[in-house]
Amino acid sequence: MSDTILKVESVSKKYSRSLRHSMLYGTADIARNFFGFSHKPEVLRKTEFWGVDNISFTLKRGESLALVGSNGSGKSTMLKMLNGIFMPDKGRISIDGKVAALIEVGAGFHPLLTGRENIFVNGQILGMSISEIKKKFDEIVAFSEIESFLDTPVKNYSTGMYVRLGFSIAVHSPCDILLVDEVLAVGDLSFAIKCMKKMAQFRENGGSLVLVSHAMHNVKNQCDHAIWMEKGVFREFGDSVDVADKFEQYMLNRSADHDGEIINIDPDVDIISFDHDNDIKQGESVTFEIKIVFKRRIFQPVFMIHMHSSTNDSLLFSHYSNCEGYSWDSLDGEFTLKIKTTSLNFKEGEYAISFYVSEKEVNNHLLWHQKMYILRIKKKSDIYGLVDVSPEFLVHH
Amino acid sequence: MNIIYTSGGKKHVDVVGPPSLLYLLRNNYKAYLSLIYTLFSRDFKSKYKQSILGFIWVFVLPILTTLMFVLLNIAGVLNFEAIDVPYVVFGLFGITFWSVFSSGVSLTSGSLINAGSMVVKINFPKSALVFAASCICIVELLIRLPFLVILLIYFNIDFDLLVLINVLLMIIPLYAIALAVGFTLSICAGVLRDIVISLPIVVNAFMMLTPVMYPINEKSFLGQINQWNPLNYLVNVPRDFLLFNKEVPFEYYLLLIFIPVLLILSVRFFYISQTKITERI
Repeated sequence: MSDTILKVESVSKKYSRSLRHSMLYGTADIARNFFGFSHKPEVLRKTEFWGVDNISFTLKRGESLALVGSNGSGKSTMLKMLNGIFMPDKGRISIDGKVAALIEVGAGFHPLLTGRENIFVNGQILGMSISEIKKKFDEIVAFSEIESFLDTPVKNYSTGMYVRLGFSIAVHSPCDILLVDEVLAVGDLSFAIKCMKKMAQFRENGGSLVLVSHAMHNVKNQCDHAIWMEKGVFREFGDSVDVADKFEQYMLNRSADHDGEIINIDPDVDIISFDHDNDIKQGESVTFEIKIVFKRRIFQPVFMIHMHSSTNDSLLFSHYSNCEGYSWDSLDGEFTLKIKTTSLNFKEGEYAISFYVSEKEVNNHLLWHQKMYILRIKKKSDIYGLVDVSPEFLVHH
Repeated sequence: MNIIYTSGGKKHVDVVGPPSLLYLLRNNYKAYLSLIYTLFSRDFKSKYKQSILGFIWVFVLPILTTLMFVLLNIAGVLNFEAIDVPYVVFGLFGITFWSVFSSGVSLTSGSLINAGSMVVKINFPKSALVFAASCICIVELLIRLPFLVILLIYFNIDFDLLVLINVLLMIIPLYAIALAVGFTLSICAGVLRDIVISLPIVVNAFMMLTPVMYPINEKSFLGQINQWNPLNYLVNVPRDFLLFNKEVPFEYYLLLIFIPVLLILSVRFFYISQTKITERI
């Protein structure tokens, strides 16, 4: 048995930007293949582009590899090629083992069938035999935590239950290589941790893992190596921590460069300055000092402040002055608004701040500064995950 | 390395997955047949699960269609006097046999695109979807059959078990042609959705043109056209054999050679094209 379980050699995949051309090319390719005429998959036709371009890597038994990159970088296409759903247009993929993929949990579930029935249907679609499913049935049910809903149609399941059952079936499918595509983003935190443990257990038993994720802490914790792809092209390969750090930095810079948006809906409302401590440490609070001018009287103004993670765009907090119990009958002229937060126990890095002003109702926006300001939080201690909750660990007898 | 993916498709150096139907049947037939059964069972159960009448719907379609033609006869629009058996028997056998083709084609043609994200997110033998869909029309035929036998007994029409078995065997070519059309159209529908939209109209038009619900004068214009219509033979030969003890015509034997060739070509077309279609669904 070879040590290399997966070998990807100069693999490329093309797509068409135009649906009409895609249909046309699809029909032409099928006709050519059927009648045995030669075709040139390596040549781009009008409106076609390389979604994945000349990617090579190998994966050894027991190793884990992350594919990182911004949206549209070709990670999911690469995963589908590794799973044999799409064929490469150029290059070659060699696999020495059984592959199982968690590309979309619950794909193949029938909404009218019960959880029990769907375990058998989905298990078989994923390549398990009936006897294998019967053997692992109790484990699948226990892992998914849906015991009391086993005979309920899955259409009545919550999204979390749906994901738990889908993941549980897939992860119990015997395989040598597990391909995982960001499926844990939909589950709750406790289940995500449980899944991570299951994947770690799979690796301890000699399984190889290919993970596509935007969550860099998962990449660093779960994977030995990482490949960073950008617009289908190979950009970086190396230790997962190094690649994830470089990718995070790239995303932060890109966020600061491109994502900001200012819309002055009401010309009578403007921001003169937006100040805050440039660099704060983990656990410190921050005060935003915003100099605002209302050139007309604004009745019942509402101020909103949001903070987004620059790496995965998740909303970390969102506060509205009226919801926090601060209200004014009216304001006009030039004034300074101070917004003081409690301790920010977030991981070190850069965060995008958005600020909005509305009149009377939250949705009646007058001014829109989306992700225009960057808050840098410096490292005080190592935080795994996004937030430090400084828990107490007490033992009682 | 036991699997190799290139632009030419999937190659198996060892066992795992499906490059061809023959490969599947040779190496992994139990798992493959089990998957077909599971998919069929899933679709069949879910088809009737949220309905009050449930499996009774299997009988409703042929009975309603036959009643409609009986009414047309009473109204004098159609004239069925030339038929030697009660029209209800003639019509119900015709529509039941025709349903093997019409349901078979309708269900199989949409089987890939109706499977939705499962086709583009999971690697499994897609042909199982087509086979599973086609099984529904056969099972529906078997459910209707006892009812048809009761009708034969009620109207004192002579038949024996051997004739009945022969008739059932004569349905196989009809099922096979539905499967061949289904394999081809399931791929084409992935690229051209017009097929799914137009299919019910086309199938209904074919039913009206084919002498399924009415007898035909072979010398008439429609009769001449139907001499070139394979469905005419595939539906009417088993019915004529059962109800009128007619001999099997030469054209039917020709079809027995032509249909397996068509089925092999359509399965080959499906296997060559399936990954191209997956990218476009």
